[in-house]
Amino acid sequence: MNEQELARQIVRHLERGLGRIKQGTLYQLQSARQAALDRYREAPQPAFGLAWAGDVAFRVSHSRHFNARNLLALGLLLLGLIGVTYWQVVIQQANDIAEIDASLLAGDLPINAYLDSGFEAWLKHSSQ
Amino acid sequence: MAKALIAIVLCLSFVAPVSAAAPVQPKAATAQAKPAKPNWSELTPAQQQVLAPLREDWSELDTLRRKKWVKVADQYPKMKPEQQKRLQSRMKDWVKLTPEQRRVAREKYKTIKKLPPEKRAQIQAQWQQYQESLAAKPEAVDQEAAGGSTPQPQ
Repeated sequence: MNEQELARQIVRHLERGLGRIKQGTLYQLQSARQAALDRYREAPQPAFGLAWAGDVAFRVSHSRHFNARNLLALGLLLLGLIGVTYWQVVIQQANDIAEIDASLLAGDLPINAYLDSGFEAWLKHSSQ
Repeated sequence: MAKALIAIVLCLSFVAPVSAAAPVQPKAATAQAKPAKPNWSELTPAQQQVLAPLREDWSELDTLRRKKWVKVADQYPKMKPEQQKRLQSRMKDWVKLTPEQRRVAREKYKTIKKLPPEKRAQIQAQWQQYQESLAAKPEAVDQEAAGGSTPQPQ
């Protein structure tokens, strides 16, 4: 049996089997084909963006993990982190100032000692 | 769409840390839009007692300064009696200073705090000496100081 003859026999068997496929199986096959075609059509198209971000955007936009919804979530997460960092800086600064003010006001030297430039000049003069 | 979003996200990630690290300046507009907190009535009785010298000025303080004073009040119980007395007696003068004067005073305080204890004690003794010489012959001290400023009331 040469190759041509073998191929004809395989085709005959497949066509005979095709006629015996159940309706449910046929429907499943059709649905799977349609879903594959839909996914192909929905592939992201090149979009407007910054030139320097183009290469990165091209790569990630072809990955199914980097769709618009995921990026939006990532953006919101970043904004949240920025907000938390900002308030940590504000609170830390307020704590530092409170600590300095408390020890300065409770300290041995009065406020004027830190502000009187005459005292500063007097110190310089007396140390000479 | 995806590219534009990526560009926005990347821009934010570069810009945000810079703005977060910048010195925090409370905006006047924000302070006007929102009433300053906490109100005097929201303070605990202990905090009200410590901050009693500021009661009249409390409405003039913005949120950040009020929160700072609340923290100062919370440190009060840990202080020695003489420190507590000094703190309360100086509060009113402190809030009357300009922001620039407070900044200068804090900077000088931090510089002096870094000095060894004996040097700090020496500065304190010199302040007393300066006050005495100022009271004895003010015109002589003015001449010695050559360009010194007018002392402010304590």
